[in-house]
Amino acid sequence: MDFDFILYKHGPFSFELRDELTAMRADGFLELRSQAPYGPTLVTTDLGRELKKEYPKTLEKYEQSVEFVARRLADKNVSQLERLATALFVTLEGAPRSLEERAEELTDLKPHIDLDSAEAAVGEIDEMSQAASRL
Amino acid sequence: MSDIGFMRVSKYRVASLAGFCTIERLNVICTVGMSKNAHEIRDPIHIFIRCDSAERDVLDSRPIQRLRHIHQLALSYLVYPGASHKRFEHSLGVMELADRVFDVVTRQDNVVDTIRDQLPEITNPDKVRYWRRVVRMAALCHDVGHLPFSHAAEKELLPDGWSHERLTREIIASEEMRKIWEGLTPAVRIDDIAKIAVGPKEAKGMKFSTWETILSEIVVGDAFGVDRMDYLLRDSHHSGVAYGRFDHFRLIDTMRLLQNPVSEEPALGVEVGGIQSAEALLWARYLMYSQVYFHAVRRVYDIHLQDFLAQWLPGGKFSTGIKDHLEMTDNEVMSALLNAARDPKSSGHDPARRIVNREHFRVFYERNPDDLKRNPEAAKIIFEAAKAKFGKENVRRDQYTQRSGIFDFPVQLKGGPAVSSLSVSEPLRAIPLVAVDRIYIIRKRKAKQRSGSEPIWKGFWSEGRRKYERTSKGISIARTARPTKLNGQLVWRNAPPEGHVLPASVARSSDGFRLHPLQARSFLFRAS
Repeated sequence: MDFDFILYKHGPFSFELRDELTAMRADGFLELRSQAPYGPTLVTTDLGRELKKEYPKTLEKYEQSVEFVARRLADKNVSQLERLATALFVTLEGAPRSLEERAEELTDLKPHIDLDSAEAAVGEIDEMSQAASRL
Repeated sequence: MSDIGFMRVSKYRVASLAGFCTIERLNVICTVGMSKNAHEIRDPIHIFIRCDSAERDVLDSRPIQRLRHIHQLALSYLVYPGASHKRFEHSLGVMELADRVFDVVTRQDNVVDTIRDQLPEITNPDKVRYWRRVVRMAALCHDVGHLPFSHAAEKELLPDGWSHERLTREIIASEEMRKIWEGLTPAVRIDDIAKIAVGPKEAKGMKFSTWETILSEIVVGDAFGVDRMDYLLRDSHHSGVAYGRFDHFRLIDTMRLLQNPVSEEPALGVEVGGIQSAEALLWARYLMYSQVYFHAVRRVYDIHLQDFLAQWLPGGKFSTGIKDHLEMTDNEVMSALLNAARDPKSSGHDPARRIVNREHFRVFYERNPDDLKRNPEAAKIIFEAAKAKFGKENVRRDQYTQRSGIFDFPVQLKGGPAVSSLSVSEPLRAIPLVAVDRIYIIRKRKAKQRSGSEPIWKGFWSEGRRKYERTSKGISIARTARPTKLNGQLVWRNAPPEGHVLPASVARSSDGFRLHPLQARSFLFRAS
């Protein structure tokens, strides 16, 4: 799943992934659920659950990674996710740089994020990347 | 307007361009006694479209004038005869609407302090003036990369990695346009125009600031970009399909730059009083897609056009050179298509004659929820089975799934915070996704009585165990035939004339198939 990401509203965004998810909604595997005042959430439908049963080996292959992402990110709100995702984007883009340099770049790209929050986000991403590499 | 009066110039020379010599009857209203710096062009949708003399240099350029010869809705005029409007007037309309939206969202009364802090461009009059010009020019140029017949044949007939948006970027940055951009006051940066004209999705490798992202959303945004506003209103007007109309005056008046309720980032949104207009726009889009843009016959003409172009174009692809692109319009393609339709030896004769004689393929199968539940790849299975049974040259598939279907934008509540549009609008949550998957098959020609040939007869008869039916539409396997009893014997009414020789296969004639609609689904049941 080699999706291209660009820096967009609320951090990195993939138009290709969006199109893929929209196609899955059109096919009835996912549906939108909204919870005021937040935006939409995508949830699996009955048909989607049926589909998952068809591919147990694929699910097993990615189970650990999915569980890691869910454990570490599921309880974050949109602002926190925006900070972390942009920190990851900055880390992966270009040559390796120090935590401070990346945090500064993050605040350049997202002026509404202050430097302290940016440094914390880049630090968390570094720690998370190390943990993920041990999976 | 001045009290001095107006002079209407019904025709004036615009430029000596190869192939595009004059703008005919472009009505220009100008104030007598003053230099003509402000121009107004009449338009059926927006009444007047305004531009100044510097912008008219852009309007007069070859890439923009070429759009006079590109149909906005490809061959849709074969289904909706009025839909023969061109990309040129649409581009003018997008410029006009972009200007109106830009003025509303940057008007100081409409901007709150938090947005001023986050978007300093808004408080600087010079910057506002600069970006207003950029937005107008980006809107005017956003479609210059379109191929002949717009979207009809884009994906399959451009080399890998190319799209009309990439061509748009190349043309905006071309030498011809560069001179014009440099001549504007203030001069505009090419990258700024390219970014706003195609948006972040298509401007790969370009970084967008929040301000630039918002401006590109004004022009080509998914929720209420003015490109969408104009094409819905204009296509609806010309096709005679009323579903595309919505209250765009109200919508534009209520558009604001708001803080996203969750991320606190600035974004394009609406005041709560405009939410119904936004709902109407997005429902209009859904209905126009269902009724006009994805009309079954209109889409199959696109497929026949693609087939023709694939055979007619050198190497089966459009050239991506700017010179070649600017010289290729609907007129060149249509001329070749008419010639090919007349000459059976021409390449592309068959698809050309199908368009010209309106002998298009017919719908054999259409995606439906029941079959999707049975098998998500129902259409693919039926398509493969139909190709194996009837020959791949006689079957075509048209597949499309909407790309963006979540219309989440901030809505400013009265005296309260901004919230997500999806949390306050049930209609927005309920908009269905447009998903089309159709299989078309060559149609059977109607039986025509030619002078001097045997008379047309109609009725049922049997040969061996098979029962046949002949109607004015031709011969097929009978579905409802019942023999009658005559003198104690079962006989078929209106048997064929004596000496009639039945074709070897009536289900498969030389020019088409006449099939029971259930036959398509039988392929699926067999596969299941």
